[in-house]
Amino acid sequence: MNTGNYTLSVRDLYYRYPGRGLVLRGLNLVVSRGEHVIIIGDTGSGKTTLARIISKTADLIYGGEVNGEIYLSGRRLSDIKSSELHKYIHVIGQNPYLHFTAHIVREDLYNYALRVTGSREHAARAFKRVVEALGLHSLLDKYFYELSGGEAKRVAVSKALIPNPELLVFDEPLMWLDDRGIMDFQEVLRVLRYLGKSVIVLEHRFIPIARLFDRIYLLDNGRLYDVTDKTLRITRQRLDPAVIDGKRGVREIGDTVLRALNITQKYNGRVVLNNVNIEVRRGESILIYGLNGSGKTTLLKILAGYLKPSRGRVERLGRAIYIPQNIPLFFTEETIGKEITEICRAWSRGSQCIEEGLRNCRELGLSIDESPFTLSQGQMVKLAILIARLSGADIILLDEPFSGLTYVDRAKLIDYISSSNSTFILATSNLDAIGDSMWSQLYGLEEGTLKPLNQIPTGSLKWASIIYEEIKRGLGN
Amino acid sequence: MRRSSVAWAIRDFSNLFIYSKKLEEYSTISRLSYASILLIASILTRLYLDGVASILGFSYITILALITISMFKGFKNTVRGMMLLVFFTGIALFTYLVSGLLGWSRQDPVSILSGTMYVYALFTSLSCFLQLVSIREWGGLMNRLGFKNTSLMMSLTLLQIPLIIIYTSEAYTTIKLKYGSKRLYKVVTPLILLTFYTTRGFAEAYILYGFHVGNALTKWSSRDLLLYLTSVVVLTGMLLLILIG
Repeated sequence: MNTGNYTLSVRDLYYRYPGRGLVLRGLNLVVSRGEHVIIIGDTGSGKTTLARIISKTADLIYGGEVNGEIYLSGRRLSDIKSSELHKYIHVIGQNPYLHFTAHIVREDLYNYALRVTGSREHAARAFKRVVEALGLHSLLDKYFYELSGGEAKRVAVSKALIPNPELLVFDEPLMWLDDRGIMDFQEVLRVLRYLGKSVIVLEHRFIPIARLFDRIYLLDNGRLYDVTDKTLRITRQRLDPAVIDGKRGVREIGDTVLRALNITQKYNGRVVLNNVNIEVRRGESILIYGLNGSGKTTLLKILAGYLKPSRGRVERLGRAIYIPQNIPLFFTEETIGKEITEICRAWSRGSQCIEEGLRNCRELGLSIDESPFTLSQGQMVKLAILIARLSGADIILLDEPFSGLTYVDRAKLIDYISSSNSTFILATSNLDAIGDSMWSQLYGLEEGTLKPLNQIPTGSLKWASIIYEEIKRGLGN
Repeated sequence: MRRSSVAWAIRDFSNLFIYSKKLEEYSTISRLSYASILLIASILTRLYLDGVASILGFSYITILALITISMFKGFKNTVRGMMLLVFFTGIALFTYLVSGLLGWSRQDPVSILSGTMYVYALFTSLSCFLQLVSIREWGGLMNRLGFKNTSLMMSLTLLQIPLIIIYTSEAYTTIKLKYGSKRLYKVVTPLILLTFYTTRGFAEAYILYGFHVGNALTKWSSRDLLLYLTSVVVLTGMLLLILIG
């Protein structure tokens, strides 16, 4: 094979992290010039590892063992110095906020352009080119942590384009993006195609973007499988989500446990929430949909009793517990067993609570000696919900619990919530959870105003997870 | 302080550690000199003044530093950023004064007030230091002094500050609702872990992008006169206070 014809050529790639088993087992991949490729796969299947290997951080930072041949535009990866790698490839990681090397967007982009080009004149030209290509003018004077997830992703892409690399790799680009951010990303892909760049996207939420790619691969058991035709055929089928989801069992709804009346919240002179009213009864599961920055987290914190609203009042007839989007912030102990013991002690729930917690842990397939911080994202969310239920809190508030979860894990989480009798209020920025029939109340939050939503029978998680399982079926035979 | 304000107060506080967007109007040397003079003035006051004179000295430095911060960050943002510090020093001051009145502490109110003002002066001067000099300039400065690795570590640390403070605010909310106020110390565990992940992420960014520190330092700008003039005012005021005190 003439590797010079390809932007990326990977042959028989094996990788293991120090002290662990093989993550990649003989992976092969070629990406032609201008080709757009998406790699789908379960959490932990090795997608991020692949990105780390071709950006050289897998051995430089993680100290793993790489075996196999990798060529970038015909040059062997091991012959390319780290300092010149940006001419060939750029990886845009899961967390776009970690791409910044200065606090202000303008300075970050310009400094990088200066470093890459070495002259003020060329830097100014490169800076102007990427700012115009991705329409960043309104973001230039912002601090990076003021940007929304979608905006930060756009800046990270423009930064990656400064050295004009041939290949861009996106690791879970849809993570942290709301539905508008996903549309923004689709536009970014179109711009990159227009610029003739090769693109690899590593993503498990592939349905909204699958049609924009030339090839679709599935990463399973350390190897890649071409599933382009299969995926496009299956996603074209119009299944009736209502039939797939079926009807959930009827939940027992009790007395009112929380009532928010005319809640208005202002910050820095800006109205974050405007005259919000909501009544929650025991056993209900309520979903609040809103784009990033619409005020969901603020509303949850007010309902939890942590924030006091500028106007209006919250009548709370019980205690609430809050599970944040950044899920590791919920855990404080070194083992799952200690997490259970501590929550039962803190809420004076007695030894029965501990026994119940340990039993539920076994049912979820979790070891009590394991650290909660080493669990997968899906397991962490389930453990957090289990702990919240053990506390006996009357209301469990979940902020964006689906972030970083595969379709299958999302569907499983909905099943898990649905099987519980606790009262849930869940905030999300993606429509795909709305199709489920488990929600007793659905709301849309737009610019601080809360309005009831009708059930939307599209984009069902169950439907998406069935598609994914169908794509995986029969591989490796 | 109202319960609702704590999380946002932490975020506003973080603003006082991040350099301003209006830096380029002044040269690096003038900003660095001014910030150093404020810091040196605080230390000189601590060493050479006591009693009411030290309170006046620290107040003088604090006011000048706050005016400077307001110039770059705006008055409202400066006041909001200071709220957390005012809250904690207020509690400390109140506790000392009450315990003194009840006979549990032998320290006189003047030295307590002087200590409190010292905290303000030192904090606002340090805040000026971090707000007036950008990460790139710190890198350039350390590089010129021959501390290349230190400059990299310092840049990575300064970059993380806003994210870590946002995490702190989020962890505070979560743990308070999970365990109540008595076990708030537990926020430390997830924060240490997230700091580790963030550091690793920024280290990856360093490998991908590197830091440009080349000609980061600028020597002169016509607007520098204002900062040099204020520096002279600070020094003259301090000398007068030391002479009188």
